[in-house]
Amino acid sequence: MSYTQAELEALLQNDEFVQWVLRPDAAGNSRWEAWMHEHADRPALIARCKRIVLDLQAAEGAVPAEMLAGEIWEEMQAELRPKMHFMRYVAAATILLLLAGAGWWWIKGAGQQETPVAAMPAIMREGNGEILAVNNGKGLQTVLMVDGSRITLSPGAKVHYKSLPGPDARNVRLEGSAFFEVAPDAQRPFTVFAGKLVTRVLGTSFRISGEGTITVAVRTGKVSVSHDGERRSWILLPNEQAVFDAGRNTIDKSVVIHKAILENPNLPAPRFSFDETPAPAIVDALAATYGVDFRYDRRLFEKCKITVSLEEGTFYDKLDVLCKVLGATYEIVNYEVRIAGPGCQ
Amino acid sequence: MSQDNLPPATDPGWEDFKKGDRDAFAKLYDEHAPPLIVYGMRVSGEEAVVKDVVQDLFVELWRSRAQLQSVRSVRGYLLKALRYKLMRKAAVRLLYKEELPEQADPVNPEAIILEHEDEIIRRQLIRRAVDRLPRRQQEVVNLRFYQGLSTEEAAEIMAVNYQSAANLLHRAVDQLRKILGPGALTLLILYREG
Repeated sequence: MSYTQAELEALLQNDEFVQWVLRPDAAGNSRWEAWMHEHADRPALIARCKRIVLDLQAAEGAVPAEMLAGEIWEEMQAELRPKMHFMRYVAAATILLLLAGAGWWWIKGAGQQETPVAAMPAIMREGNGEILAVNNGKGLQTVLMVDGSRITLSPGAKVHYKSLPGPDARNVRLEGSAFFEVAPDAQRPFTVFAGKLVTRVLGTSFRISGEGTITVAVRTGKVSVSHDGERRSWILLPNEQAVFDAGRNTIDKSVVIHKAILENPNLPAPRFSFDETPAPAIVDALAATYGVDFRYDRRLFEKCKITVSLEEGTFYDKLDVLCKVLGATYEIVNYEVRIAGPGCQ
Repeated sequence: MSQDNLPPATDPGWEDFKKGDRDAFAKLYDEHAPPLIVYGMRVSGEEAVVKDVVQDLFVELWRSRAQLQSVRSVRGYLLKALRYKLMRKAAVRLLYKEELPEQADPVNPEAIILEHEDEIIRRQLIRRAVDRLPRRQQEVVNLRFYQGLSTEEAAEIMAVNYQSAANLLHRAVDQLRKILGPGALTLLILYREG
């Protein structure tokens, strides 16, 4: 069995052959089958040529084209909007209103000294650093994430996520209704999957609610919404909402009518001040709050009594301060935080 | 073989889009933007340039939709328009100008094993081999083996005659074999002169 370089090249130059390999159809199948069986050398020749064409096709296709297409589509929307000037005017006005609203909310919050702190949902560890947080209570419960983001769950709502997100993404799966406040991190886009709806966060706070009909409403910043597995997306600005109808499989964009759904329901985070507290108790508090697993020599640190305020900053900020106080170091290995240090005598 | 004798086939999606149907435009985008990006990356290699030009192309399409002609092949039309826009970028023109005509990079002494079992690694190795070809050969490889165009259509998009496109393809296959080395491009080991 042999074939020549010339035969091989002739086949690669043949339009019909290449097009049949890339887009096989019945007519092509019978045609090339017949051609193949005219000579004993041809099955091997065809197999080789097919392999080359398909390898080249796959190599050429190794470009994140779908993702780029999605990004370009989003960027294009502003340019394609029919009444652009009007829309811009409305957007500017809503931002002003929201700023005023936020100011009022902040003053009101600051005025009340005896504000109750946010209740924590039940956190279940599902292995590999995966967490399921469920609000089984009757009131709101808040999930604190290590990057400083907060998710306030309505009763019955569930979120599924990785306690220590990877270097390039923060993904959350939601069932039920929740208010999201997302810490900005350009390296790690924050994406919420709810039913068949994908919400990508380009800015800060918004609400997702519903099961069959899912609503995404934006309070601040910029959010993009799309069907799972589709490139087309809708950009939502403050006070805009997208309503996904699972029955009709449509997404409709409109202005938020029920302003109440955009009120930030968040209560202050639980107290994180410690007075002469053994280090392991502080680690336990961090582990419980953020759903993060720790590995360290508990006995070594048992005698370290610490007085520290860890109210400010993200999980990582708190961890930095704690390690500094302990003269210890930490690293993140296999979905857990490993602390090493001399401990206390 | 010439398609010039064929009457212009009307693509219903294209006609709806020309009438200003936004859904038809979104469909047109979904269908054509990714392969255009793949081609754009092959021509310019710069993500930012490709994004810019693809966005520009579709915005322009939408705005001038009423004046557009019926086209025989929407894909061919868009590829040609994209290439025209890319070639107006100084950085891209430079890429095409600077290289020695039709001379591939020297052969990599490392043996690249295309029989690699891991498909992803094999794909990357082949992609890197194509990257080493002169620009026009890269282009013809993309148009033929990714976009699935005929040599004639590729020639039309690259604004060269049929024979030049066929020659480019011939040289590309030849160069690929050299770059990948003996024992590399799976098929090429098995053939015997005869």
